[in-house]
Amino acid sequence: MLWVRPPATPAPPHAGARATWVTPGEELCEEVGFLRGHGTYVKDGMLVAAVAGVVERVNKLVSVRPYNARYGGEVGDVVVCRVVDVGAKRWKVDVNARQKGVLLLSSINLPGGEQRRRTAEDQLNMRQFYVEHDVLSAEVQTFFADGAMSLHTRSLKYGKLGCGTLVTVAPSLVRRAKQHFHTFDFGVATIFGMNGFIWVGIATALSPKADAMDVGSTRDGGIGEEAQESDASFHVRERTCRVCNAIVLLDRFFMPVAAAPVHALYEKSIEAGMSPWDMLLPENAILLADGLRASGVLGVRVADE
Amino acid sequence: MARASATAPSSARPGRHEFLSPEGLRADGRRQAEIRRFICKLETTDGRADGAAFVAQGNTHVAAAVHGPQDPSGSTRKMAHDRAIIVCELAMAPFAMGEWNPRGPSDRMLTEIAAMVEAVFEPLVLTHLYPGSQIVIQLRVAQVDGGLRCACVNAATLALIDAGVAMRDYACACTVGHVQGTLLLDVSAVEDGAGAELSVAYLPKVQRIALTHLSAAIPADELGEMLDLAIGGCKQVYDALDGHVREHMRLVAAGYGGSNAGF
Repeated sequence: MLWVRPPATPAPPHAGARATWVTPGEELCEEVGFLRGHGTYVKDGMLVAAVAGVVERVNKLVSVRPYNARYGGEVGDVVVCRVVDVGAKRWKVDVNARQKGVLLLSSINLPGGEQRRRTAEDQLNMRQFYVEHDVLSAEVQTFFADGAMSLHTRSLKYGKLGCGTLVTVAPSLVRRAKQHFHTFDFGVATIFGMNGFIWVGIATALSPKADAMDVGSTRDGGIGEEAQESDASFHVRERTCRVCNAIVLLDRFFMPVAAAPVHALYEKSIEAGMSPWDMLLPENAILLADGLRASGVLGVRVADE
Repeated sequence: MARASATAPSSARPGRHEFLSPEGLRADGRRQAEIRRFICKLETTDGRADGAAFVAQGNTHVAAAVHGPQDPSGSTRKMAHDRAIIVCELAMAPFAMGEWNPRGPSDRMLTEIAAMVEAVFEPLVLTHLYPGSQIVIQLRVAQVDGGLRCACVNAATLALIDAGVAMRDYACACTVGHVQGTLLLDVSAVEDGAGAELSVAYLPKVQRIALTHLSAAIPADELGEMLDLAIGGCKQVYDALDGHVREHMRLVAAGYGGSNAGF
């Protein structure tokens, strides 16, 4: 039967006990003396939850964070996005948000780090930078009045991504961290985009900042863009697949997606003698997930924060 | 006998069929004010939809998926600049009603129910929070055994909650049948075919009725009683839905959630 949850892995009763979980329509507190935050609305002088999730209080601000939602975005977030449209002065990108993100022509680095105004000629040459279906890493720069987010790639960290795979997970699983770019010691580089888009590519000999501001360089940042197909040996591809499947597994079990749990799953799957394509078989996935929970790598649960 | 003038299918044997035994039990063993087996399931991180849910009310099975709030690109509808628009797409399996009956997208019954679902959720969702976007509710009906509208509303509610869309309240729906002078909660197709069916969508926390739909004429003085019974049924549905959402959140918080966690 499709809908029966197998009883194999019951959750501990104390899980999430410290957090207050609410569902839509549930009254939170009186409106007087509190500020209405996201995920709430006012009804008859009471603050009421509008989404199912966990209550968060910052001083007087009361908000409810849904357990699953589209990416909301904050200025400074690292995101991975896909170009869907090339406009006159801007690229429209899919950032897994309510509206398409915007990457202005003036918000990218020109080849060689040249600093100048963008000319009409640059506008005509936009397709030489990014075209539809290109995957980029970028940072949220600001928000427009209509709520759409404006991105920029004006750092050598950001730019077009190549020779790798895009894995999408629930955005709520990616937590804000000091470092969203992570290169594993086994030669796989990942970008944990805050919007739930995770890039998994091969770590090339060129570190992102190798030819920092060389005039004449055609690089504009990014990972793996110069890597050739031939750089990706069978073993590198296999490792990439293993990391991808580790991320898919974390998403399926709704566990935090970060470097540490991915690395732990990578190691555990090798220890267990699983090939990358075996990792997501039901019995193996449950085995790996149980092992990950027991290992304590997941640390403090999101719910307990 | 206050039988309504509904045209009953031949299978229902009106007038001869006992719908409530002397012991107060119905054909399937339920009491008068008892809903059928209610099964629901949230399917977070389906990977394609933002939210997904499955609802089975007895043998009426509906799956729902919510896409959005998203850019209204590719939509045939106009967008509103100050709020989100809600679009419901309903499809039914050709075998859902018992006999093979393929229904196209312009089928009258399907478009009517889809419009009804939109009308229920348009005021319920806090659409002003998502200006210039659209929320698509896709409903897929696998089998129908009475109470299709209600199962659609319940499935859509769950899928919207799963998608993290801000809503004022749950919309819980349940039917009441008026069969041979007796009122029966959450009627199956056989009971429904023998009389009139009242579908009610209720907002349990706001305490308002969001929708009523009556399939045939009934004596006017019995409407109040039917509504009371239906609201009681909606509260039973609410308990089931809310209980499941809370259980799902508990599993999610413990790292046991996700649609495929159990595979």
